[in-house]
Amino acid sequence: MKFSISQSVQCGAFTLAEVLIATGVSSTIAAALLTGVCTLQRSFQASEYYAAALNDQTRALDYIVRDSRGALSVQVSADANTLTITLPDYYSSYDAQGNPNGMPVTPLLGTNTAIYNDPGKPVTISYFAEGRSLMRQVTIGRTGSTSKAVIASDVDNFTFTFGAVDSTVTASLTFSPRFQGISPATDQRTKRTAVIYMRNHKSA
Amino acid sequence: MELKIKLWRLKNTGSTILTALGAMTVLTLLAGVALTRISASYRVTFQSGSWEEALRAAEAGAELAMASLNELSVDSTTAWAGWSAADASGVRTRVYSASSTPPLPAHTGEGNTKMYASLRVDPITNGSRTWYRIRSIGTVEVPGGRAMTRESALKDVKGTKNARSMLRKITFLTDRTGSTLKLPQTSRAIELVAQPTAAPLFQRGFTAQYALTMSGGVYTDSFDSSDALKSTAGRYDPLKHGSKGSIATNSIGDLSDLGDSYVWGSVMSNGGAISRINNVQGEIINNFKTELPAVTAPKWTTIISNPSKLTGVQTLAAGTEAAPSRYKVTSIDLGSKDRLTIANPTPGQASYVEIWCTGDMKTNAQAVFILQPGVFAKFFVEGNFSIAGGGVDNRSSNAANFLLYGISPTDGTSRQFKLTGGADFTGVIYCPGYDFVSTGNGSFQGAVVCKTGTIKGNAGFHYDEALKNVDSDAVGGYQMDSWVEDIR
Repeated sequence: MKFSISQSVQCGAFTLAEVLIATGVSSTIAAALLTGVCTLQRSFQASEYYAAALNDQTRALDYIVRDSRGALSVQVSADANTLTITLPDYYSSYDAQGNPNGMPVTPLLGTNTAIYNDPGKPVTISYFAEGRSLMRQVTIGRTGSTSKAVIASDVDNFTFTFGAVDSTVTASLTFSPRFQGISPATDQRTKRTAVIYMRNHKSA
Repeated sequence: MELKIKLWRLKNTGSTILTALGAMTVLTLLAGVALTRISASYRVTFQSGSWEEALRAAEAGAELAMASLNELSVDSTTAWAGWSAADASGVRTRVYSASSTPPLPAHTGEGNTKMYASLRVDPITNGSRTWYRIRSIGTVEVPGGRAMTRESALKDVKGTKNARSMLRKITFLTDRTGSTLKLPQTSRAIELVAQPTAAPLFQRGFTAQYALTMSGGVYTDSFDSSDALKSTAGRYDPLKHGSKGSIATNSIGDLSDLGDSYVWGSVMSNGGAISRINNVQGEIINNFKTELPAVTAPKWTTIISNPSKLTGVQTLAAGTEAAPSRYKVTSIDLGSKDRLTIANPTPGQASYVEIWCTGDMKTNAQAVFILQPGVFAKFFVEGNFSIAGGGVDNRSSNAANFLLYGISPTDGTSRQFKLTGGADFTGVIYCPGYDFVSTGNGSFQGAVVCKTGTIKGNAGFHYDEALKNVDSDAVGGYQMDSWVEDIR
């Protein structure tokens, strides 16, 4: 019995000092964990944003490069923030979003060039920022229909620069990472530039 | 009591295991979430890369089709080797891969390693000429598993998702024919229209296939013989000079050196960087590429064979545009006392002459070689050129009236085109198989296309902007007229 009572006293309670020490240690560990989790969460969110921004950047440049490559001509606004591309009207019909849903037309051959549909009414595509979105606006010259689509959202801290020289188009997109302690130089490392040779350009 | 102590110990042991398992579960879930996110980004890279490579495959296929078309003018019996026989509509097809001859470029290492180009070429009649439409579909495999990425569909301005994205299209299970795919794949289709090269080839002052070297005080600029505001009496006027005297090399720029010569126009190369370009007044472009079709020997059915060579004192009569006078001679050699006149039988009107020289063409600076006003002369030369600028008197004062074609050697050897002398030269030189060397100090008005170009001395090269509209139907082969990507 004596042995049993002794065991019971040892397991039954803690002194005030023990409780205070335990509480202090636990609080410290909890605070460290909370700080760590918060930091991890912020880092994760910054990484997520970086990946998403990189993805948006890639998609936007892919669109611009694809459209510019077949351009008949391009125009860049004075502030270099809007790119307007003129393309041959290659399809018989388009849906409400300006996407082709008809077959390619057979070109008519002029004296020195191939002509798709009415050359005086080409397809026009514009890229510009609207609010926090990068827009792609398609105008079908033949029907007059216009549609806009968001090709990259959350681009409020993107920088767009377009340029057109002779037969080439240059498009640069830069975004600012959300990692803490970044320098302007880090921004530049997120800049991607595409130089596109316009296949349908007629003179150099 | 003994039993109680054992139970207490067992209880503590169980809690530790459960805690460890719980922690491992949480960490595993976190790792799983992170891995899922990373995998999505990883797939974006593969899918975007493969999508780009599909276009490269399509472009490579189209280039190979263009090569076959250009081979037509050289040897029509071998031009379509490896292609299907033409059907009733003249349509030919072929699939290129890394194992074809010639092959598509092989891609090794991480990412896609297989690419194919499916081609269809069909003729389109345009008047008396045959154009061709080339449809090329580039297909590549897409590593990274059968799963879409974080890519969301396009949204309209109201934030509503559209039915489909019009950008990258990946097929995961079956291809367009319904066949089961071992790996996901993506395809891109382009359509080119190729026209015979009876099209403007002289769109800049100087174009070389390979190295271009300038030194001394040589410079380039432009004028327009068809515009009184940009020329005087159709000739170059320094007070009206323009800035379209562009020069270009179809090869990597590192081969070329401009020696800090003044270029009033743009400078272009196919990648790389041209040396010493500090005095270029226009743009520096390093993604330039153009077709420089080979010149083949004429295939005339009616030939004037007398005289057999041009030397001494001779007069040749030009014909009409529909029936130009066509001479075939073994050489053209005009010494200091020689005189060759190309006469215009209808003064005040245009007349035409074409001369095929199977040997060399030489004109001495003291020779008299007269193209009477209104004469349009084309020379096709199989040997070397040695032209003294003062030896040619183009009295039309228009470069388009005097065209010199160097027939491209079929054995791969080079020919030489030497332009010397201190007098002016007005004409057009199209010699994509020739090494062009200019050492004169006179004024050059026209345009040059050559294999390599070396320009020394103090000559001013003045590109005649009116040449951009001059047809060159003497050159065999085809060039791309339009390029469209089918984005359906």
